[in-house]
Amino acid sequence: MNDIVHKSFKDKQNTMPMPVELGTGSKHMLLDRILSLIPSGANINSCFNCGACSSGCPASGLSDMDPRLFVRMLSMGMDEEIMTSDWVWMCTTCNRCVHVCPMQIDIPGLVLFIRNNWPEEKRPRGIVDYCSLALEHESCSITNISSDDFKFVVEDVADDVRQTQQGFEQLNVPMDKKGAALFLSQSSRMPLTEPSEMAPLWKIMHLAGADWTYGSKGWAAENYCMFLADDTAWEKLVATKAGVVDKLGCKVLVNTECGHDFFAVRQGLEKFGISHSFEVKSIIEYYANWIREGRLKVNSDWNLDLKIKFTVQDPCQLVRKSYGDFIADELRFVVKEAVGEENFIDMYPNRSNNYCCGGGGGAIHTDFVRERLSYGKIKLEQILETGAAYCITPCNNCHSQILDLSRHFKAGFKTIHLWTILCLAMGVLGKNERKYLGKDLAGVDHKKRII
Amino acid sequence: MTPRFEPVIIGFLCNWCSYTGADLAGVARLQYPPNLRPIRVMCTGMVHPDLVTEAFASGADGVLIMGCHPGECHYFKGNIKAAARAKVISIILRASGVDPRRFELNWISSAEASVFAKLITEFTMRIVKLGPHKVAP
Amino acid sequence: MLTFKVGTLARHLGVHRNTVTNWIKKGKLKASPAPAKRYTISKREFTKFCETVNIPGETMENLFRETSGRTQDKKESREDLKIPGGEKLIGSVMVVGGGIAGIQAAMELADSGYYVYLIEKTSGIGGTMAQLDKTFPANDCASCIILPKLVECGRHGNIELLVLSGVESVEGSAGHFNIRVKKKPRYIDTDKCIACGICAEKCPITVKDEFNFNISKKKAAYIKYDQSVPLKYAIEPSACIYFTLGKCRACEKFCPTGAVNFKQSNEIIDINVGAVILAPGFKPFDPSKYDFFGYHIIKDVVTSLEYERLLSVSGPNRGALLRPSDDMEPRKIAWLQCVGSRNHNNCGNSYCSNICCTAAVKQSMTSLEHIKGRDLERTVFFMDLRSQGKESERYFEKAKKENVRFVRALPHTVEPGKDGTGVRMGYMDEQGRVMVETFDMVVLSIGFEAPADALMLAELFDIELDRHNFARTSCFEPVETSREGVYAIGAFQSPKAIPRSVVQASCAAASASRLLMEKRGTLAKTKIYPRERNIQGEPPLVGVFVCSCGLNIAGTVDVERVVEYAAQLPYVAYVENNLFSCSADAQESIIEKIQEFQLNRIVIAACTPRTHEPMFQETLKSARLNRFMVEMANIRNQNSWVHQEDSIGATQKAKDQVRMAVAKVANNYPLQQERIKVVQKALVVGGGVVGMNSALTLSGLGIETRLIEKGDFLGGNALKLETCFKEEAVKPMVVDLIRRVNQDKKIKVYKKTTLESVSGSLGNFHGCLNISGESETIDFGAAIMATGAKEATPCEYLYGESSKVMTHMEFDVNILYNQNEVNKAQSVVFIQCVGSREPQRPYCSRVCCIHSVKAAVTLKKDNPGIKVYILYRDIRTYGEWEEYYKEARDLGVLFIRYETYGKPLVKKKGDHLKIDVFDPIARRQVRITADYLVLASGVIANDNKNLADLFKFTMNPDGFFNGAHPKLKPVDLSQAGLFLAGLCNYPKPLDESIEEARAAACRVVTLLTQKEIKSEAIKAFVTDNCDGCAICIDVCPFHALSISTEGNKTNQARVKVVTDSALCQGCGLCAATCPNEGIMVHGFTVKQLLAQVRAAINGFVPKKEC
Repeated sequence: MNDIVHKSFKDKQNTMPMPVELGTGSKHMLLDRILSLIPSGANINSCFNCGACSSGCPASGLSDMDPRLFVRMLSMGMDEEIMTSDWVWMCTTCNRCVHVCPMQIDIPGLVLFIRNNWPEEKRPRGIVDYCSLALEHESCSITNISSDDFKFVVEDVADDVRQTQQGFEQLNVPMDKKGAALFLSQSSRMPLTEPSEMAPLWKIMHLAGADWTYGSKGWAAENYCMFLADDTAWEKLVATKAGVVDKLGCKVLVNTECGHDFFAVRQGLEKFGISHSFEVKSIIEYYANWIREGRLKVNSDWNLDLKIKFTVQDPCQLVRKSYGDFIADELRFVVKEAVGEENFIDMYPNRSNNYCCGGGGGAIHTDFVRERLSYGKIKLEQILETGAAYCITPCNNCHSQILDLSRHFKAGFKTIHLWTILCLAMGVLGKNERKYLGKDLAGVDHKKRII
Repeated sequence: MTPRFEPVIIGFLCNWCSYTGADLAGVARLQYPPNLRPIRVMCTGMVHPDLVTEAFASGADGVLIMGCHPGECHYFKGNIKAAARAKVISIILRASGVDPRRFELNWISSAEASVFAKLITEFTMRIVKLGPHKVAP
Repeated sequence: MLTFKVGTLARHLGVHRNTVTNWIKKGKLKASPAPAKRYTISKREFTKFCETVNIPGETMENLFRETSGRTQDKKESREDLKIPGGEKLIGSVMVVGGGIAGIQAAMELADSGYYVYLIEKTSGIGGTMAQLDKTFPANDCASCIILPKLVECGRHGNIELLVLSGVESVEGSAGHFNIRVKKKPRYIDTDKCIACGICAEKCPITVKDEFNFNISKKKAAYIKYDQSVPLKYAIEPSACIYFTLGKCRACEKFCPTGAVNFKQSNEIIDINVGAVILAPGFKPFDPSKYDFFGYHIIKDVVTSLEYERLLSVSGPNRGALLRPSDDMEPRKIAWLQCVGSRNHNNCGNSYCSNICCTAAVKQSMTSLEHIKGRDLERTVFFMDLRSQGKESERYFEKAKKENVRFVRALPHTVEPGKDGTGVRMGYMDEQGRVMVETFDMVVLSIGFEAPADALMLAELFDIELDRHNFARTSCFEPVETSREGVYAIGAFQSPKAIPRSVVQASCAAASASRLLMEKRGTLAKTKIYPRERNIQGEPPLVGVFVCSCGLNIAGTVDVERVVEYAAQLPYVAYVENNLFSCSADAQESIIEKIQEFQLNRIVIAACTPRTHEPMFQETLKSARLNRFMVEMANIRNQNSWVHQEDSIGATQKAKDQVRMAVAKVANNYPLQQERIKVVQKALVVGGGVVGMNSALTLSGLGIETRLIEKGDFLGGNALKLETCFKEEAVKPMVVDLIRRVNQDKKIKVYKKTTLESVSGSLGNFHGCLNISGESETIDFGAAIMATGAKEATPCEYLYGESSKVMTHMEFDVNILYNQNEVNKAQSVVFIQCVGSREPQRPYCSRVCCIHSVKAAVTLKKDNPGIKVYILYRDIRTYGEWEEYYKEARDLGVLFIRYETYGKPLVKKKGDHLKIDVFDPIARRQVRITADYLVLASGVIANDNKNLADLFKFTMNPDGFFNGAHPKLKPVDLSQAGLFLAGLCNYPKPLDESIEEARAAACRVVTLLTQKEIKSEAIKAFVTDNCDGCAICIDVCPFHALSISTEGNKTNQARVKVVTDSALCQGCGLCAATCPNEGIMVHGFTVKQLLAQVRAAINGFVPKKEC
């Protein structure tokens, strides 16, 4: 048994705590509330204690807690210990536990419930602030960008592209276009901190000839209120966005490479019964279809000689928690078209059984940085095992976390958005859009190579 | 040219396991030397020591008794009795000048065709090495 | 019971059927799931519903009036059946499914006077058991124990085997079904096929071999497996290129007997039978739907059934354990339990598959025998280790002693190992640490699912299924489906191991037999043979028939030389060479030559006697010879096939084999099968539910029965039970049983009675009863032991010191069935395994977990505020009972696991009890304040020693009776004519006990409906040489020998051994022990064996004497 690796993060010293009192007179307040408030009590009572959840949870061991122990402590009425454990903020609610649980216990649901029961002042500031900021603006953005500012930034960047990038002289970035087929949401980070990162997406939309629009309201692709299990706020954000999309008469709300908001909107519409007349889809579906239809001329020839290896991160919110393997397969199709089949190396496990990177569930905006990086070690090892130079992350939180992991552990790999590699593979990636590329790709220009 | 020594080996095979295993070796076409002369018995426990001593007295070069594995005997413990008897037989053989290596008791289940073929091959080789058994005058 | 369909209710209530369905889905109206996502609603539930939603009584009554008309009809047709000799009854039965359960049912019925059609969808019978390597708990080789049974079934005169066949339509009703069967073409004429395998050898197409669970390939011309019954090849039309491309026909060209026939087509057969037994088995769970097991990606992840084939000597690796990725011998294997069982996520198989734990224990142990070195690390990952079967707990303990590691954890994901070999897994150990470990191989212990054709069968036969598509049966009628005359047995009824499948088969045979009793023997065939020729005084005249077997023998052995040689042998009067000695025309020839040359002994030099001797024996009978006057020289399986490279050596060996056979048969003499007159009466010992069920089944099948009970009332343990595990009320059932037993004219009940002494054997036992001090002698032909067992009295946890501490039985009576007490109680604790699974009582009592869990459910339902805790070691709610475990957890019962080294501590504190225990999951000490403590104290055997001594059978160390064979003869005792059933066999719930009761009765009936029993001819006999030294008596495993003093001519008393031929099995241990040929076995006399030995020696030719 010499090959057993002990992966506990901390050694658990058993100091002798007081016995748990059960039986006549004992109270299980939290459990009782869970059973009365959560539909079917999240199946909490069904637990076998088999430990499959904990066996595959990257948060096992953080804060001396793991999913099985968490469920057990709730069942046994160890309320105080549950309520004082920071672990609920380290769990990324990635659902990997639910995926294997023979009883389908909704452990992330329980985690959110406990988060919601934390006193306001003790909750992580990052998440709390992002939730309240979003509620303050009709943009639903977690930043202070006003609608006018957003319009200004978008138009300014578009102008820049039209002037500097050959072939995009006619680039149009529609705003509040009534009756557009697609309504695109937009992560707030880009217009604020890296505006030129928006351009590749626009160029893709342009080349595909899509009928789309941004909205000056409700455009932001975030929902941190969901991570607080603040249902009222969550609902409000989703309702605002739905109102904007419906007002413009768009048939589809397209989420652009952001995991949690995709889930928050889809789930929110259903959970709160918000009436709407549009569908919610991921941009990845469109990428794949446009490539198949020949509307996007993606070509992997640029990598024929370079043979640079790529792997891909399956965002939990998008894959396991929403579409399942379908979207993961679409994602792989797009990536393979762009980098060449032989240059794509998958991690294992993957798709619906993928490991969360550690950035989800709001964890990226808490102060538990050391724990978050520790959580991400599995992902780090997975990426390193593929030997890939690049990890493609079609989710902003995954992108931030994997970037952090690579930097912190000096792992050497890069992480990029999907649109970046798509534009690269179409030969339309602008010079200032290569922020996340390494030296190996900094100079690659597909079009020039072909000429 | 002197003819190659072809020993005669007498095998007592129990009906339920070893004989069936030997049949299965046939079905699987597992090849082994043709020196075994099989005798079907209901149980290894049925093989009287006299049969073994008489075989050597008549000029057999080797004798094998093959039955079910312990615990699998059709008659509960016939093979166990046979095992006990085999020890006695070995002693008698040694006393009467027969090399005890010429006699062996083995367990072959009805599924162990390959084990059977291997056993017969190895035992035959052993007897060929030992050379012809000379019947004491 | 009156039931309604959704549509009927909807029509009568004037609502849409979806409305009714919604009521059901919302739980307002309780309904039972029926096939194809449909429901049936019982009258009781409907009435309840009507009351709660105020549906006018008129509507209800209309509905009942209309539907009761229909049930009236049904009743009438039942009455029809009861007319003695009713013409509508048909004395034949159809068994669907040729696995071990189907085979057992078919044999039982065929042996007791019914004609049986055995329908099997593949090309051969044997089912899953034939695919196993070993069976637990004896680690017996599976093929060794099933093969003789297959051969026997295959050549049974009253079993018609329809392979490659399936049921197409069903008409009629109980007593007279008309069933249409479609038989698919085999493309091989079974009369001509000699199973030489040349067709497969020449066939250019390979396909996946389903018998090996697709881990290996076979040819499109194939035999299901090497020992298949029928032992005939078949052609798979979907793969055969003649069928797909119109070319090839290689098999046809090379077949030595012209057996290939591409013109065969579907055959439709209409069959009339009185009853149907469904035994279609199960579908192994397909783990490829779970991404986390990696089954579809990682080569070294195999299912437990594939692993059986990997271990099997007849499997693709010929028994060498090699991992699939690189054919290397594994050094470290893991088993993962509950794959596709006990799961509500993805697959929805919420039940426990019952056998997988013990099967994994078995595989972990037997794997060692298949590797060269002895170093094999074995780890079983599990949730609850369920070794609840007879001898299984000891088996589990043995595995632990043999260093099999048991880890209570389920890994999350099986990941591929390095370089595409082996696997890597993470799991949380019992200390709460995540461990990552690599293994060479992973075996997924896959569960059972209902057979693929369950829905189709349900529709064809109009029977109800449960929500997992297993056949629905009740506790007290455990094999009867919702349709009269249709029975469901084996894994189709619920996931189960071989022994209970066999028991259910016999049980269903008893029920079918009861239904069709008036027609017993009307369709069964008996073959009549001409009178045997008296050969006394004739010199041996041997006819030798040498078979070429096409080229199978003649290709290696010089058959002509063998024929020439045989002609010169002493006694040989006639020699003939046949192309195929087993062919019908060869049989004719043999009969002719026997008559022409007045032959009195026959040698057949051909294949193996194990498959063909019975056939040649029949031929001899037809030629007026004693059937034992044939000897086979096995020159195919043990010669030509194994010496293909050495034609000279093979020919020499063949000559020797013929010479040996002639020498043996020359020394043979006609053998007679002794006829034993049978006393057609049975004895049942024990007046509980089991004994009464046995007695009623016996009497129902025409056997006069004596039922003895040592106490002064009937009913046994069941009197203390409120409901059975299926929630059916026990008391009315017991009361009804007692009434029926008392009224039955064929049953005589003796209370306060014990058996004092017994003598005799099968067919003729004589017993002496002690009836409250009076003695009475009785005769009986066979007996069933149904002496039950009892609840153990605990000696720990303050039992006897506090009135708050009780056993199950006490708690049931005092608290559980007393609503007031339940309402008052606030907290109840159960402790499992009290005194069980410990060194002094090393077995699992099987029922206590289910009992506790069910009691907990009842408590919670009756008083939702009550707190219930179950302290356990492994929860063993096996099979369908798993649903109770889930229900209990859902209701909030808290389960806390303890280890034997950290048993709960119980203290009194005022009115309450304080129970301290360590919770390994929370890793915290727990203190429970409880009103009551219930001790699950297990089942212990009654004192059976006296009975065992009287009848000379044995008990296991725990005091339960030992069956004759743990797998195939679970209700037979080792002494012929004696059977066992119920708790005295091993602890078990009511339904399983009732199954055994009826199965044992079925076995008795098969014996006792015959006026005389023909014993086997191969039996020991005492010669004049016997000097009464008696050393043979001790070695006899069957207690068939005794010493007797008999007067001889000079009137001097002489001590001699005598055999009881009813008990003797012909093993010959006695003969080999006797120093002076005083006892021998017919057919294997020392003279015969010596003749064979001498004839075997090269150059030794017996003198020609005639």
